[in-house]
Amino acid sequence: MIAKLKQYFPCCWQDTVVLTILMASALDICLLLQPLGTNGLHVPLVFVLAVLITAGHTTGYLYGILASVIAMFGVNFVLTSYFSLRFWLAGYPLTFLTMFSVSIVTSTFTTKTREQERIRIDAEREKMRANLLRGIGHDLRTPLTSIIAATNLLLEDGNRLGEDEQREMLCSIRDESEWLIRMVENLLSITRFDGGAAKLKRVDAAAEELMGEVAMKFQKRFPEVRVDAVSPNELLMISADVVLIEQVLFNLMENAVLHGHADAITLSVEPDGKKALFQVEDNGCGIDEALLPHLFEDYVYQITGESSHDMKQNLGIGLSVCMAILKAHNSTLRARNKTEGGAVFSFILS
Amino acid sequence: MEEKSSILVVEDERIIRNMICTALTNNGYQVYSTGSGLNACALITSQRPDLVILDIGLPDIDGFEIIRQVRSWSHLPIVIVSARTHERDKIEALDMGADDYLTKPFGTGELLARVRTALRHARNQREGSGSDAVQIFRAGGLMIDFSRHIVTVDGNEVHLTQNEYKIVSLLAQNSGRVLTYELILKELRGAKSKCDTQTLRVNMANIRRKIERNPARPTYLFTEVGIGYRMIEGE
Repeated sequence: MIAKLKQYFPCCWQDTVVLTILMASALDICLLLQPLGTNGLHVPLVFVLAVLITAGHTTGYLYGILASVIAMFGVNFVLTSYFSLRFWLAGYPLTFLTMFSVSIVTSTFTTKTREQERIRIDAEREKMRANLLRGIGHDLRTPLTSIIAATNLLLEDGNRLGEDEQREMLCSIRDESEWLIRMVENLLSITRFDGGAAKLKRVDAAAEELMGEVAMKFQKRFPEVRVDAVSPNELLMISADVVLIEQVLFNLMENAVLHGHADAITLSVEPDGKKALFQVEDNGCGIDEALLPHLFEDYVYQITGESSHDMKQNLGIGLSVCMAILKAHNSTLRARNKTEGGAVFSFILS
Repeated sequence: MEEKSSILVVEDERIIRNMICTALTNNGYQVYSTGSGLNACALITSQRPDLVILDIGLPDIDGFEIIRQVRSWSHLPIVIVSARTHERDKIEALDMGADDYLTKPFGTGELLARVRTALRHARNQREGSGSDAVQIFRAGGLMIDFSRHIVTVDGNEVHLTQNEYKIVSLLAQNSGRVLTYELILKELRGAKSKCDTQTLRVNMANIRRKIERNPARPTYLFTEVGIGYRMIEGE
């Protein structure tokens, strides 16, 4: 019961300000128009308009009703002589009734519109989630089938395989598993802040320390790739959720290796005014020109269809996660191809 | 001849527990294990292991409680094992007295390195800081002479401020082990220096620029962002 009351009669200071401004303006306009000699006809009209606007721009019914009450006093105040309020003159009840109805109708209308807007946003978010789930299901299934195939082979035909082949099977099992766990971590991090930027755990961190840690972790995972890191002479501090930003950098670097087939990556950070510009450069084959404009669409990824194990179709999740994380940090991802080959991904953090 | 060190493994996930036990046994350690935190406390008091590997996310008892209990009567080294996303837990555990941490999933190499380091430091502490104490620290091209307060990299002497030297020597004396911001700051504050985490970071940045060839790809001083710093293991 209380909850329902709170829903229909919410109180907030912004709406109080709106109410005050509109009522005061209505009063001023009436007084200004007084010398025009319209015989006071304009007064109820101006106040009804004010009530209409108030009800339309505030949430709930409370302010609309308050507006009609205040307007009633206002009309009375202006039309009779100054400093007197006389309600028993004919016509006032009707005026008040009209203003009251106007406010109720308008409030109902705006409440309904807001409700529909909220439903639409929820539906859109549901659609994105469904897309993401479909994509995830597909992306997680592929490496798992490889793992199962490899382990079955080892268990059933293990003694017929040479030692090298066995090692190769085990290595691919490990690689696919590592990829899987990173995907799961990516997804878990999305859920961490899906509710909005409020859930981010921002801390102050040194950009070069972040880069150093990512470079080291990446090098461990891909020892055959040359990883370079460049940082400015001055200590550059950023405020961000470091675990998530490390994930962004790692995803970008992994993409460069797995999709761009790069064997040398350079991480760099430099000051950009009061902010920090992070860049991930690689010497791979660059981004497909056709894909470039669509790279950053929400949760869109390409299913190439035929190649089940070419990880091309997994381009989407890694980048989608980067986009989502950066968006929560009020930033966006930029990408371009270098003239000398390879791609550069960059983003700015404060 | 060195006696075998004994290690207690407290981990509720069977496969991981088996992996840790196998790796340790294959490397010459005597291993006890349990999947229950309550058993762990009993085993620690009865078996007196030289080191405990403790999973922070145990289902039956709070891992922190075990650390607290153990630390109330022993300096026995504790290496905690935690899942990826619990950064906060790691810092808390380290500040409560854990010596180091491992993040699941980890490889045997990392596990053995952490165990070796923790046991080494515990042994050094036991043997006291008398004349047996380590006088010189060496790792790659880095050399620190504790008695003369001299730091050289590849033969060239490096000039550090008093605070910078304190930090470097603290990390070197605990080489291979992670030291939280809090721990390092506690050491520095003792000398009446006004230090907070930001000052510490600035100091570390300066140290890196003096010691590392590329401050962005350090080889001696590693950062565990959000947790603290770690110096590479000495020779």
